[in-house]
Amino acid sequence: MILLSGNEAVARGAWEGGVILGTGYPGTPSSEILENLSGYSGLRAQWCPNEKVALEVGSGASWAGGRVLVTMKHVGLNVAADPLFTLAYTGIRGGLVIAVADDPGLQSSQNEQDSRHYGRAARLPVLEPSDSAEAKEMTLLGFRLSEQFKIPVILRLVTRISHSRTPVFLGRRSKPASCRIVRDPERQVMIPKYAAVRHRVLEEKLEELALYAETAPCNRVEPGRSGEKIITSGIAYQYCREAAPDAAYLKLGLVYPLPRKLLRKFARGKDKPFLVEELDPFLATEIRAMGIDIRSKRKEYGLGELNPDRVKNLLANRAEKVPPPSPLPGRPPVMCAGCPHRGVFWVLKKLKLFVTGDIGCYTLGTLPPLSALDTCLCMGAGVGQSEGYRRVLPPEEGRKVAAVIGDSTFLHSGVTGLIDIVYNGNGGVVIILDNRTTAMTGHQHHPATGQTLMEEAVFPVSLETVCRGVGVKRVKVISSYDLPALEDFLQDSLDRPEPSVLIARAPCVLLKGLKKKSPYRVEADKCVACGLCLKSGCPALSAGEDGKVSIDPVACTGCAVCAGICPVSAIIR
Amino acid sequence: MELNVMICGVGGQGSVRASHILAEAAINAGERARVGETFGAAMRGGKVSSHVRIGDVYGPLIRERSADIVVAQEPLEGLRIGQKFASPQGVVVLNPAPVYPVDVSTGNAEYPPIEEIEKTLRGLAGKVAVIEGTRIAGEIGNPRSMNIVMLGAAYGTGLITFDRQILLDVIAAAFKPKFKEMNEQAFLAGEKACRDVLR
Repeated sequence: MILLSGNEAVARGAWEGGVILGTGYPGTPSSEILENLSGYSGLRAQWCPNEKVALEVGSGASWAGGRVLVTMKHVGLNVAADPLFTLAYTGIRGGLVIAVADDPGLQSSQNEQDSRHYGRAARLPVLEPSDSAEAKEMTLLGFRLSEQFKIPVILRLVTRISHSRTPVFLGRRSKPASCRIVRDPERQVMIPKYAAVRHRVLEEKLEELALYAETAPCNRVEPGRSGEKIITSGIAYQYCREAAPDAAYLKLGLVYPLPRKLLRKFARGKDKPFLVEELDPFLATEIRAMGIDIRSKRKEYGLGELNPDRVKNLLANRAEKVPPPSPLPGRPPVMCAGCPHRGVFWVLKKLKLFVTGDIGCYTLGTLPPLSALDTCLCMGAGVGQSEGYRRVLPPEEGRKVAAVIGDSTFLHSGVTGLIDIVYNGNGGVVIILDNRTTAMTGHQHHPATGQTLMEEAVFPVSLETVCRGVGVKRVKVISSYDLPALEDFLQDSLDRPEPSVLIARAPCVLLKGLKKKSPYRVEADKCVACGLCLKSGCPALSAGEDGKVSIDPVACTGCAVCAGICPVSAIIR
Repeated sequence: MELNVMICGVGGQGSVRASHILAEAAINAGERARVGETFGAAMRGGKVSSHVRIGDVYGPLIRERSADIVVAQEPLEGLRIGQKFASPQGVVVLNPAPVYPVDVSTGNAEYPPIEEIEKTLRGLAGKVAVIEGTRIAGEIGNPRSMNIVMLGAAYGTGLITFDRQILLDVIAAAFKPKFKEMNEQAFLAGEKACRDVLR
């Protein structure tokens, strides 16, 4: 028995289950699944440019007969939704499990969507583990169900499962299936004629799965002593067990489709069972639609993450107030000392531009003191948004709009927005903040880094060539630390009729093997305590009682951005 | 046995690592253990807290006001977590070395005085042991071993009942061999400091 995180347990389950391919795109809290899988032998794990591609690669491998694990975070499943819905029709050959990690409580996400809805919407079975041991077992079960019912299976995780460590027993690896080409157009070519048949087949599979659910060991009844009855699943089960230790439980492992008879039997009697689930009233709605009478949580408990204290209050049907803000100083995540994004945002702020952005470390540019990022909708969005703004704004306003995007997110879904700017656009500037890695999720490789997850050296996609290839004539690569050059290029781009791409390039300061430059220091007698450098938000800088600034020599990476900002040249090496 | 230990600090200080070590040692000692981690989005500088639960427990999260030990690697985070989780019978081991949030270093917020933090925590927890983890780690020659000093201090509360050597073995295995001796020193120094304070 060892302690594994939920993510490690899913990787272990996939390996034990004979998976030969794992694909995905990084996204907190799911990223460590594939990173862990890449450490096992006898399989390949790979990052794809985005989740849609990951699922498409996975479907090909599955149709050839291999077992495949595809991983992503909840919002990534939106990107992969197109292949997902039709893959439900076609079905699979080798077992295909899609591990998707939701983020209740928004530890590191732009929304709190509940991926269980995809089960009902795409007509797919959804398994939901409540700890690491179940995460491993349900990964294995997912592959078995996937092959038994010839259907992709969603394994729904949440941050608290993915990033908690609980005991797991290890098993051995089963032998991977051999793969071959199978021509089967009626199943694999979804023209309307074939798809209509497959839709019927899918609904039949769901009925069979619902029958399976009635006796599935992962849906279990636990007798109680208090007369109280609780229906629950996933992490909420653990909180309930602590909040109501003497209740009887119907713990659901397969949360879609649901076991109608089992639920009805459990609900029988004079006391209505309480349904406890995190986020949306998904189970509650489904179970009520079956005509089964249950109690469920007040609306406010559907917001944010549950915990044992909230579940205790929820079961007592207590109204929950929004807690007053803490008087303590906050500690939001910050761009690191020496972060190459900082200087770029400094320039954007100086030019008073309206900056459309997306998802990455640079999203932190929206927080004070930089306050220089104005939109974040979804991955890739800032590029298209900048064009939308300019399309409808009067020219003197539209010229102030610039887009920022990361290197990894540009390849994920920014390039299509850039193509639209070239095709339909009206000038403007897109800034690719190229720090040579997928930084925010923990430094994963992507197609432009020249390495794969398996650490093979590969051809690095050239961002500048891609931009030129889609028709952008003004493409310039400038060091992220060269503030004057960045400013000049931007000034020169704003009023042009044709689009410009600025690739601000410098590796993330936390990348391994990167040499730190010697730190800067402040000459105290020169410092005029104006506080301008502090407005860069560098955590290596701090002001003393007299307002004079000092630099933490351990944190400073020698990036020189503050030295360039200082109006009296008091910051020197 | 049920023991709830909350380890909190700032990203980069090693609180997640320390929580893994404690939980793994508990497993090696034949106990059940679970760890719930909460870390922010960015790589560095955000607040981090880890729930370590040892014994017959279900979920990975500690209930409010029921942490037997709060290991505060940073005072403001110790206050933030202690206010919510410290048990009235529990112990807070507090490293009094602040790491200022950006709002404080830019002059937009005030860092509460350490004495105030200590006083507030004394009103909430059974005992507060101020352990100069950062200073002790520096004296030993590796400031980064502060998390191990504080882990030693947690052991010094006497509430962790399994054998010290089990923890030391897990620590030795968690780092490169060249750090073995230094980490052992750090652990023992933290343990002794805590025993001295609580005596």
